[in-house]
Amino acid sequence: MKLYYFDVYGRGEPVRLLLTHAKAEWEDVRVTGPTWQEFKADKDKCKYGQIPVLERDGKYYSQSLAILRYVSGLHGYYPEDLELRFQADELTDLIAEDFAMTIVKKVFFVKDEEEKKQEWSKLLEEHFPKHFGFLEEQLKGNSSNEFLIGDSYTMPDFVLLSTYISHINHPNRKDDLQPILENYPLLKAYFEARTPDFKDYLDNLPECSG
Amino acid sequence: MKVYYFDLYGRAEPIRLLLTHAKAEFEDVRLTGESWQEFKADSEKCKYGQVPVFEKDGKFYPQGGAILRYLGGVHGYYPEDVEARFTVDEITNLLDSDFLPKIGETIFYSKSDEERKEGFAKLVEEHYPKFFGFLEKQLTSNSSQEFMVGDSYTIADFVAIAAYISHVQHPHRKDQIEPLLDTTPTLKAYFDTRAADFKDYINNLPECSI
Repeated sequence: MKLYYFDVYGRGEPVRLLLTHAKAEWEDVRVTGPTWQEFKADKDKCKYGQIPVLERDGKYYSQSLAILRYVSGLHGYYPEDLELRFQADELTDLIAEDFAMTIVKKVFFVKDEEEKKQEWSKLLEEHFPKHFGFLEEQLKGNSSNEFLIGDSYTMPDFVLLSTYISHINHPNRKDDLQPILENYPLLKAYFEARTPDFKDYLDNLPECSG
Repeated sequence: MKVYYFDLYGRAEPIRLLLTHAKAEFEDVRLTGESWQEFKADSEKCKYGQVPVFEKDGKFYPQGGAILRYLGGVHGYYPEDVEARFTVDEITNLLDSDFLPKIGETIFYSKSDEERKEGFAKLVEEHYPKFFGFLEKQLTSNSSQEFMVGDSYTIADFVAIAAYISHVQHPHRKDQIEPLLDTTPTLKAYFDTRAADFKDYINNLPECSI
């Protein structure tokens, strides 16, 4: 198996975390510059001109959340029970789309430095507390405070841990975000419980802007 | 069972289509103005302050994609086979995350009528043909050209038919969009075949802007 993505955390990190936890054999291929142009031009490998793309047994899989649900299904992180599965889908979309993509669109993709700073301040005031609050509620209502659903890893745990890497614990952003996390003790404890499972992985993380 | 959404097609239409096809009786609740403010403020019914929300047996299910997969599971429109399910997710996400939001942004968030017109003209030239091309490719490579994945309805079909209602056949847009299908004959035939299953439903559609 190979995962093709840019040298960023972004939309690839949840899949990287899942495959790491599953102890799957896989290659973390980071495309940049000419290798990206080459990959992008290959319609068999890069169907929609976008990455991440997962390669497995000669087949190429596109669309980040479809890939995540696929590897979740392969490795037992996608619940069979429809009610639990609903929660897995609900939380995955909440965290990956509503929470994470909003930050990308409102800050990362903005070029004007002044606008970027203003948008970031707004997110710190409203967006981060709002979503940390949702996650705190989920943990409060769950049977275990150490996982998002039930008492073992499911698909949304990898998305949430990816936001820990991209934002909450990111060198450029942790000073802004860790104080906010203090107001959400269950969420803070969740990260303290889960991150030791990825100690080696986190210690060896490449430095990325986001 | 109730589906709560705005008086739009938008993110609720695939859910309405699924329940209609499944012959599941549901109340199509359209929130506006006051009723929306009231619903939004009820964090038990409207957990994330957003719609669509699905109500069943006193439980409230938020997040459109999660609702669609849940009802897909309940009514047999979401494959258990991991490979087939991947393709359903791929096409569903392609439409939900890549195709539709950009159109919605142009229609809703343009700062002037002039900007909206120009923006839409660009979509007609590039965006719509690109994605119709992707769907054409999916249909021609699928076992059946009459369904998006496999040989029966999946949630991917309900998202595609919702796009047909909202865009291809929409009174505001059909003059610009329908001709584009001449270059994707399989997709054109697919829409004709699938829309025939919803003849009464489509004939009785409320008029919505999107």
